[in-house]
Amino acid sequence: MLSQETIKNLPNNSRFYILVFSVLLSMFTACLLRMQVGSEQLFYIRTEQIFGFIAIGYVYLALAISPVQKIVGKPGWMKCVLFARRAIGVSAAYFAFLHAAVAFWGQIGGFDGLGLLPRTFMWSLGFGAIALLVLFLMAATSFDKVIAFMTFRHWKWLHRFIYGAGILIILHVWMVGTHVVYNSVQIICATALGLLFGLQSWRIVSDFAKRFPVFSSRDYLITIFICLWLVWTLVLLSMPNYIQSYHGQHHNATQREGGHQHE
Amino acid sequence: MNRKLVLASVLTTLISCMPHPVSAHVLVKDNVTKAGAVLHVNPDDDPVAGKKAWLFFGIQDSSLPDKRPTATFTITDDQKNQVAVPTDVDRSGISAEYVFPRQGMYQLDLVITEGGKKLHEFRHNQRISRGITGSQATGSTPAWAQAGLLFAILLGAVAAIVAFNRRHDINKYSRF
Repeated sequence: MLSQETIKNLPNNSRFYILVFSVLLSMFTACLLRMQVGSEQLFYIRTEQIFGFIAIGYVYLALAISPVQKIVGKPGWMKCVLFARRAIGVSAAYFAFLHAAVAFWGQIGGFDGLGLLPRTFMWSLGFGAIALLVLFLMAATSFDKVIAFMTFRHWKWLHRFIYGAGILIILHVWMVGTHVVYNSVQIICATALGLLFGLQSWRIVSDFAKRFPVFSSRDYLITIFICLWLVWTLVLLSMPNYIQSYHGQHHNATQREGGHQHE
Repeated sequence: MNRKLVLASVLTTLISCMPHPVSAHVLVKDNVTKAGAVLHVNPDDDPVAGKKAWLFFGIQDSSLPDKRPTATFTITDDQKNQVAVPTDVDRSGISAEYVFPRQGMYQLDLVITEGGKKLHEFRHNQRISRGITGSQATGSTPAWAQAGLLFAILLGAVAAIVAFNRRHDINKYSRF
């Protein structure tokens, strides 16, 4: 998979350091939690939550790089960031796998427990599993030799699946994520996703203007950009109306019963 | 001045939206049938001894809402003292409130019956590691975790030093 030259230049390769950092971060997190959390059950829950959160962070970063590059151009630092993006994607797949493994074998108890889960959980896990598969495919095809074998065009086409995976990840987290019922977390997530949607809209508009120069006037572009951004943001904000959050239901129930969760 | 106002209003909004502890999920298997229950423990899966905890069993039995079940919920501490806890039964599951007296391991037993027939039986061990300290130790830190933590920190430091020393080469090589 790796050429002789790549192996020789490993100490000069930023991707190598990112991957080492990710492995050490996972180790550090698991060991620190094991030391701090006495209960086995709680250890699995916290580990799964933190690994999932880190995986989402990496996916967000990987998705934000392209549109930021469209805006700022290709200064020296951006060339380094673009080079490092592949390792960021592989790290996202790595943490997503750890998240899934801890949840599947630690919390659910393997295939036996899968059938005992509520329907909302099953749907959510299905979305998460598809997103994990996409991340895996992308990680597996992130080698130069594989790209040469697949041809860049096909490789690029495959990697566009990340946008679908991103939507599935949002659904997965919304449906069974514990902390998304917090108002503050919802505000932070909506802001972060709104920003990402804005960046992606700008990228789409830029590509559109390149392909169809007749629409390259500033007024056209800004109108298309605002429409795209608004549509995506409105779809996101209206999601709670048509997709149920499992924990949200119970959180609301506890509040109705007297709000005893307020400490 | 405007900036300060904006900052103050953002902080106020964030503070007013401060999180309430919520429950996550633990899958508990039924000893009678092949059903399962998702146990929610509030606050944050990690109850505090001396403070009220909310326990909710979301039972995966679609026929349960049509029945008139009776739930018996008991909590047994590590001294084998058993307490029967009153429950609320509704369509979505069975909930109970309980104040764990001190830290330690507790066994939660939920038995659901209808007309004397046992429908479901769930057992779960819940460790309480926050709040009032009990007479027994709540567990020790495994050696592998300490060694792993130390290894990760040391290796991270070595990698950071190597990367810093080679920063010019990295900058030259690692770019498109």
